Amino acid sequence: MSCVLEVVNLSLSYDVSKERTNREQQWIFKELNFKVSQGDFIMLTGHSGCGKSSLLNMINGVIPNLKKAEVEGDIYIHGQRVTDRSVRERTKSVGSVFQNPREQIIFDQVADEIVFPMENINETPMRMREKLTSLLDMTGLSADAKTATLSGGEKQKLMTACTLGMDQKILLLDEPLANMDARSAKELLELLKRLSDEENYTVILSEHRQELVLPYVDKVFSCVKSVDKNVEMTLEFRDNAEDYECGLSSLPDRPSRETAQATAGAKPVFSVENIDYRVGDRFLFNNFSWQINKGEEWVILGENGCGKTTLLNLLFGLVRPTAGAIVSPYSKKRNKRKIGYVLQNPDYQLFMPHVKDELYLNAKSPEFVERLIRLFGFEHMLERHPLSLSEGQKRKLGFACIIANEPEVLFLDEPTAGLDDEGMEQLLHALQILNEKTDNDRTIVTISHDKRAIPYLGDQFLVLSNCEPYLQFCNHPNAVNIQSR
Amino acid sequence: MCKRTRDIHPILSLVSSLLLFVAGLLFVKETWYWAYVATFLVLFLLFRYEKLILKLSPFILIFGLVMGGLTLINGSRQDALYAVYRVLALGLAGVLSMSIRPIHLVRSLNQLRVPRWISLGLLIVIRFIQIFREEIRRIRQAITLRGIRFLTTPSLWGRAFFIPLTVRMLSISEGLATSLETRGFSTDSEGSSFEIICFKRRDLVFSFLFLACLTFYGYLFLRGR
Repeated sequence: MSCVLEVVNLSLSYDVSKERTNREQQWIFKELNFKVSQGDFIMLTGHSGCGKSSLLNMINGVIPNLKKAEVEGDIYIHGQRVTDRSVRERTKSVGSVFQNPREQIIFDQVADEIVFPMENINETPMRMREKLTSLLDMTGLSADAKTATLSGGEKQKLMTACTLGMDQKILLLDEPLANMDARSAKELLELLKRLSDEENYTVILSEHRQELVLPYVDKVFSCVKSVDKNVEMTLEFRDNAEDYECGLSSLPDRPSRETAQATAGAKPVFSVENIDYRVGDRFLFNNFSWQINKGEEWVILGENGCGKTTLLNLLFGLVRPTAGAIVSPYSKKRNKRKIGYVLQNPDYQLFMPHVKDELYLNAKSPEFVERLIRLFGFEHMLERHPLSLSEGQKRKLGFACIIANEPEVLFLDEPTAGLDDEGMEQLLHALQILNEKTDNDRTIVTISHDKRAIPYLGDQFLVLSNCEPYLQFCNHPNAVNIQSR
Repeated sequence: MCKRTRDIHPILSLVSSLLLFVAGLLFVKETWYWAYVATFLVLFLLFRYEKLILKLSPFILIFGLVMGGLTLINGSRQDALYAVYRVLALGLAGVLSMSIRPIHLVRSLNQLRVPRWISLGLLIVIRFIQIFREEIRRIRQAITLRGIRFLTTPSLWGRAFFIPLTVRMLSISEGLATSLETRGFSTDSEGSSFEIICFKRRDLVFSFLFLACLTFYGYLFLRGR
C-alpha cells in the first residue's frame, strides 16, 4: 500500500513565551517520525491531555494555523509537503471530525448540514444529491430531521457524514465515541472499517474506549511518557493491533452492598409513579414507573436519545413530567441541596478563580477535600484557574467538587466519558471513599455507556431501550428492562 | 432546478416584513388601524401562515399588555393603545420574518452574488442566537444543581452565570470557526448551491396582493394628512 501520510521529525511545543531564558523549552512531542499507508485504520490512544488531539490538529493544520504553538518538522500528504499550507488547502485531502459535534452544527436541518461542505468545494447539485442519498443511507439519518433534536451520537454521525461528503481519503476523528452508546459506536466503527477496507480510506481515530475500537483497527499508536525530561510524550507504534493489550490495572474491589441495603431497609427515596414525558409529539416516557430505595446504586443504560439525562432531570425536578408524579423527600427545595448532580460537560459547573476555591466551595470537611486533592493529583494545580485545565482534568475537578459536598444522593451523567483508565480508576476510588464515609448509605444513580466502568458504578441496572448492547447487564438479576415504555 | 416549497421567497418575505413594520408604525394613530391589521392577517391566512400566527400570538399578547401597561403609568389611555398597536405592527412583521428558513435566505443571497462572508455571517449570527439561548438555559440549570441562589449569594450567582457563559461562548466560537475551516469554507471562493430558490407564481400573487393592500392603506394615510 502506498504511503499517504508521512511525519518527519515533527515537534510540538506550547511553550512559546519569550521570557524563557534560563530553562530549556518544554516540548509535548519531539522529533516524531511515522508513516501511514493507504487503507490503514489506526487507533491513537494515551491518557487524557497527552497530546492526541494536538497531533491530529497538526496533521489537519489547525495547529499552528488556528491555534498558536511552535511546530518543527514536516508533514507530507500524498508525497506533497503540506507543513506551510493552510487548513483549507489541507482539507482537500484530510477530513476532521472533532469532539463536540453540538458546537459545530450550523444549520437546522440534517440535509443542509451535510451538503454545506459539498457546496464549499463546488460540487454540482446532481452530485450533491447523489452523495446526500448515499450518506443518509450509510448513517441512518433522516434528511428532514431537525439538528437540534438529534442525540449526541446522531450529531457525531452527522459530522462524520459532512466529512465523508468532501471525499477526503484521510479521516481524522478525535474521540468520536466519547458520548456514544454501544450500538451507535459499533455502527460508526463498522462504517469506518468498511470505508477503510473497501474504499481505501485511511482512518486515524483517537479514543479512550479502547475495548470498543480495538477489534476494528489494524494498528495502534499509543502516547507514552518520554524519558527526556524536556519532552512530555513520545509515540509507540504497534503494527498489529492484536498485540496491544488494554484494561484497567488496579480497580478497587466492589464492596458488598448487602449490609448497606439491609440497614437501609428499602426506604424509597424516589418513587416514579406512572409518568408520561413528551418531547413534541414523541413520548420519551409513557406510563413509566420505577422506585429507587435509599442506599441503592443504579446505572441507567440505553442508546443515545432514549431519555437517560431527561430521567435524571425529572428525578431532580429540573423538568416536570407531562403526567404522573415523582414522589421524593428530595422534591422539597431545602432538600435539593442534599443531591449532587455531576453534569456531562464540566464547563457549566466550574466558575471559581482557582481550583482550590472550587473544591472548598460548599465542602463539608476539609480532610475529605485534601484526600480528594491527593487522589486526583490536584496538588500542583490548586492555584490554577479551573477552566485552564485539560478536558480530562476539568471532568475530574467537576466530579470532585460535587462529591466534596458529600451529598446524600448522587446523580452522575456520563462521569467517565473522555477519561483515560487512570482517571477512571481515580474516580471509582473517590466514589468508594465517599461510600465508606456513610457506611454505604448513599444513593447513586449513574448514566453510562462506558462498559469499562458500568460494573463498578452500580449493581442495579435500568435499561431504557434495546437490550442487545447491554446483554451482560440486562441478564443481571437486578436489571429492570424497560424496552416498551 | 427550483426548490418546490410552499414558503414565500425569503427575500420577498424579508422586504415585506420590513415594509409592514415601518408602515405599521406610521399608521398607528389612524382610526382604521384595526382594519389594516385585519387585512394583513387575512392575507397571511390565505397563504397558510396560521401556525405561525398562533405561535406568535401569546408573545404578542403578553408583550402588548406589558407595553400598554407601562405606558399607562405615565401616559393617557390613548398612548397605551398606541403602544399596543406598535407591538401589533411588530407581530405582523414577525410572522413573515419567522417564516424564513435561514438556509433559504443564504442561498437566495448567494444567487444574488452577495459576498459569502455576509450571507454566511448572517446565518452564523442567527445560529449563535439559538446557541446562546440554549447555553443560558444549561448554565442556569447548572447553577441550580450547585445550590447557588441569586437571593442569598448574588455575587456568587453572577460569577456562576457569567464565567461559564463567557467561556462557553469563546469555546463555541472557536469550535465553529475551526469546523467551518475544516469543512472547506472560504470567503475567497463562491461555492455552489444545492438548490435554486426561485421566484414562483405564488410569490407573484403574494407580492401583488401585499402591495395592493399596502398601497390602499398608504393612500388612506396620505389622504388624511
